[in-house]
Amino acid sequence: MTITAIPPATSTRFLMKGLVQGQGVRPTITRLAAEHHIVGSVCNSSRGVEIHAAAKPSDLLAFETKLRTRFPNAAFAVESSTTLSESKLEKFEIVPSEIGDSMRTVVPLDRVICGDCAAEVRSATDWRSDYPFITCAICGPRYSILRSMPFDRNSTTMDAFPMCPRCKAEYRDPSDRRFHAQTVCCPTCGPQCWVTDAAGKRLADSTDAMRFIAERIDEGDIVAVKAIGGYQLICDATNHQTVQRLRNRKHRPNKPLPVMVGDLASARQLALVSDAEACELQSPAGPIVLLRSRLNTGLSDLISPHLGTIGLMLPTSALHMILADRVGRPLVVTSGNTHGSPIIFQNEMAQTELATIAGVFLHHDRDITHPVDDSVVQCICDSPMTIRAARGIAPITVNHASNITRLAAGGHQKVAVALQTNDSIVLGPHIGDMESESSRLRLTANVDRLQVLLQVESSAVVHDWHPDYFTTAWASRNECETTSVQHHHAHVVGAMLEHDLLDQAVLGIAFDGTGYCNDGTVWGGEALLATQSDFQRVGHLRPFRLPGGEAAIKQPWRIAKSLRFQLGQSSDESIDDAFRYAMDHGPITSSMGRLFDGVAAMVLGIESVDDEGEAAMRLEAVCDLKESTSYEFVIHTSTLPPGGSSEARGGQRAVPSALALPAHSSRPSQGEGEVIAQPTLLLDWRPVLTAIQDDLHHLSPNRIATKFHRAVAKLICELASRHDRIPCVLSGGVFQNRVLLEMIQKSASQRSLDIRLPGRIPVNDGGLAIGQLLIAEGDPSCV
Amino acid sequence: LSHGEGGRVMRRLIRDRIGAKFGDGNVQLHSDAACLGNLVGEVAMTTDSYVVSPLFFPGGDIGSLAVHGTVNDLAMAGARPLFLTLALILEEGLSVETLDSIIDSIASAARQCDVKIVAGDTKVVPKGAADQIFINTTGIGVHQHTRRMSACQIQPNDCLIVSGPLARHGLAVLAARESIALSPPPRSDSAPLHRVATELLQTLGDDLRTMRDATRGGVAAVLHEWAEESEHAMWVDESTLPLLPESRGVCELLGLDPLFVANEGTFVVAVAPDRVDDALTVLRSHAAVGEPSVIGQARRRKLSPVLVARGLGADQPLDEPIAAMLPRIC
Ligand SMILES: [Fe+3]
Ligand SMILES: [Mg+2]
Ligand SMILES: [Zn+2]
Ligand SMILES: [Zn+2]
Repeated sequence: MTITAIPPATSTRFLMKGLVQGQGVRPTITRLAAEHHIVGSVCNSSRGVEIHAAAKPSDLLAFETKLRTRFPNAAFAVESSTTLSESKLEKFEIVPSEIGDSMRTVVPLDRVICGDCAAEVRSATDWRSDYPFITCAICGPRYSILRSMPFDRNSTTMDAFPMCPRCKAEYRDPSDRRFHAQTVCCPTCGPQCWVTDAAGKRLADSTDAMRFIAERIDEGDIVAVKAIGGYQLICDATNHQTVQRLRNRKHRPNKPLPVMVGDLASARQLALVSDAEACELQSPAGPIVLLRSRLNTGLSDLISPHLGTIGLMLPTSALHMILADRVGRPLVVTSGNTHGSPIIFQNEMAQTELATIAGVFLHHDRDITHPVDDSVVQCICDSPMTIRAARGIAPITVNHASNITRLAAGGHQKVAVALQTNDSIVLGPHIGDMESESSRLRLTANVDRLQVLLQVESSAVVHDWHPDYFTTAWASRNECETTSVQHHHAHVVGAMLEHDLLDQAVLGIAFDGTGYCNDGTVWGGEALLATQSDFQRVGHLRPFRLPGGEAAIKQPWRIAKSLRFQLGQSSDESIDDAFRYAMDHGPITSSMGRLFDGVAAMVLGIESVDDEGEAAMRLEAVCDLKESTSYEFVIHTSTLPPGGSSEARGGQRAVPSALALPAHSSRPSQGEGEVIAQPTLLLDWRPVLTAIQDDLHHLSPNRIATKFHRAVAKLICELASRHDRIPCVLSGGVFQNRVLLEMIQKSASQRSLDIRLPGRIPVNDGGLAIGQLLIAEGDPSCV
Repeated sequence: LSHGEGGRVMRRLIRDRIGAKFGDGNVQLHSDAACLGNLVGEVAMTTDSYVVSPLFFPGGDIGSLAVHGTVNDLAMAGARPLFLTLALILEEGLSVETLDSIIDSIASAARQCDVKIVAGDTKVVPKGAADQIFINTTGIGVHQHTRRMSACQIQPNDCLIVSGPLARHGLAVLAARESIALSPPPRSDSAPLHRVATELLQTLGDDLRTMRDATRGGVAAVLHEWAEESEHAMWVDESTLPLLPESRGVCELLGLDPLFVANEGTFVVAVAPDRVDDALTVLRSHAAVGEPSVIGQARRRKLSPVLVARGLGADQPLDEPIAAMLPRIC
């Protein structure tokens, strides 16, 4: 197309960085250019989005202002400006991408179907009516089909589908919504779907496929559907028997199952949805949002047993929308994998691996390059926090330059890797727990794919201190230089980046399940005075034993018994020789997550759990907020070893000497930004447990649970107030607890404490890799 | 016993309390070096030191262990054990009765294993320099077959068989040492394996890829060694692991994985897949060995050297822990 050229007076080159490619950036710029009579070009380059614009100075100024308001998050730079007598340019055009050696643009994220596309799918007359793969310049798959940056059709798996003339016309028409939409396609030229049975026999094709699948769901079958980032298992969420069957076949007895509903109104029928939560549900990322569930919704009560919450999401693609419309009931939509394996994303693999779970398969022929699960978020006091960063959210890109490219391997559970490129930190999507061969293979493949995508080869690797994490062994196997960092320091530094506090010291509260420390104990209830490169342990939970090691995590009654033993209450229950041995040889921990487990076991009588967060989640779920009182942790300001002979009482054995922990620092402090030595605070849970024991006789579990949550919130505020000249950040899996976070938020604002709640970077080990990268960067010994 | 006794006292001790127990043709007390005569076949030699607390435990004691352990090392290599040497390091203060019963146990184990104890040494060290008694035995045997055991001969699809219930020795010693009262108390599986090993070798020939007694580090250690040497993966189905109900209970309570617990008479065999039944028949004919079980197979390696299928979930890598018992769950 040609814009009538007014003789231009000025020619300017702009560079926009930090923009998300593939979300209609270049077409939008082209339209803005047309509005302001600009001639020139726009292209994606290795440096960012480059704009060359020539026009009258006033038009140019207006254009520049529009650009800045339209793309507020972009780093905007005027690179050169020349005065011209006239221009040979006659139009404004999108020029093909030039491919450079480093990509300074941001990986585009998968976007859920937009309103315009949704209307076309539902319209009876549109030529893309009922087409499951409809997309436009602002919606559709991006990262999940991308092979390498920048985002162009020929670098995605859409290159297998040459545009038909009609699609091509739209692609070329600047006035069209699909102008330069890299994923544009239609029933004639685009991907196709088909249905097979468990044996792989073809049962239905194209439009008929959707009708067929919807009918099977309606009849109570479990179907495997190839979605954006991989296969999903879908069934009727109101059919109790089907949900039971899914749980049996997936070997997933208790873990909550996410549910998809057609629209916001349907979501409101199943759960309480605040404005902030509605916003998350309808966001282009389309995550699963954890909501407070309503009662008597007609859903199977196996959806999220023992929890007062439900994970809901809206249709993420046209395919999901068509299914939701056709079935007309809430659908269970869960990752297509066998127990312990990562999400399956290849057709043949799905057909073989999921045949024991699903009776019918909906495949399609658009390949997935980056498998990615559904994301999970929740809102705390109206602001969203990420629980699982995956489709639509990951890769998370944070502007942060470094002269060393480095890979961070993450932890052992909820692993996600992060890559430091020349100008940003990129956190890859959730992979899973490193307990299975297939998830370990997925990790190694993901690392390769991420490096290809970003065209970066890392020259250094950073991993956790834990010698037995797979990621540690794997990182050490790499040829390049390796650094290791302490688990909770990494948690805290991740939170420092989240809150833009990297340039100062913070009080980091790292409460999680388990993290290794080289003092031979398991940390997890830590208060760290931390900078980006260093930390000092200024407080920790009073240590206790985990009888039987990992067995104590699967069977929280063991922790309850161990805690009671330390209270000197072992006489009233039989501690047999074997248990005593397990206890004497169990690892010593200061873990807050494990304290939650022990309390949950005591209060709710939980014997065993399938998932390590389960006991704490159930304790959170029973909280009765009408209870306004609290238990009290006692904070001992002392560097004296806890539980020495002075504390040994009648009937209570002295705490083993290994429980006496010295103050710990990552290394001797030196020079600038050093952390000034502080006494170590011992956070004593015994008064809390003693009070719980007393209350068990006359108070409801709901009130006891609330008083315990309040005690933890109060403890955090107390710690923050003792260090009130610096901000306090929270990190670690314990802070996925909404009840706890809301209590903290409330008392922090009452007491004017600067306590920062979790946000975009996953607060659990899913965000660990970001902290690892930053610590390695700040460590003078690993430059 | 006391440290620094004169030569005469020691000589008498050795002659009366040790040498005499082994009978004719055993310890050659009057020569500096034992004469073993002409051996037919390739000679195999191994040595091992035994320290265990407590000295006596259900199913055995340090004496029988010192014989079985070394005999089994020869047997697993495919050799027929013939001779042992016996070196004793005694802590001052060890009671003569204790020594007597250990020596009796050594003598009876040696008789049972058809080996002669041909040379020995005894030292008494000051209190605290040893823990009651340490024993070293060196074994000499001959190969009667051209086959040599090597994990390099393991091929993908070869079957892994374990000869009997796992974890018995480790649990017996643990329960005895820590005075963990269990009923029934776990019994050690300590037993000689030379007869069953010879028969397996004769029956299976080249189809017997390799075998190994699963002592320290348990079956897990054997599988890791084999995986490393063969460069394949060793895959095990947890549900097929033979385990006495009482062992299962103790392992669960203590948070121990039976794959890592020591055995002293239980061994692992890798055989060609089509000879599994023959191998099982031989194993079953030796009642002392226990009830054998096919526990898995060798597979082509993808990533992890040893894999366990637990329950119905995905295959889990069996990692050898460095920081023993420190959980990885966050
Ligand atoms: Fe953690
Ligand atoms: Mg040995
Ligand atoms: Zn759209
Ligand atoms: Zn088309």
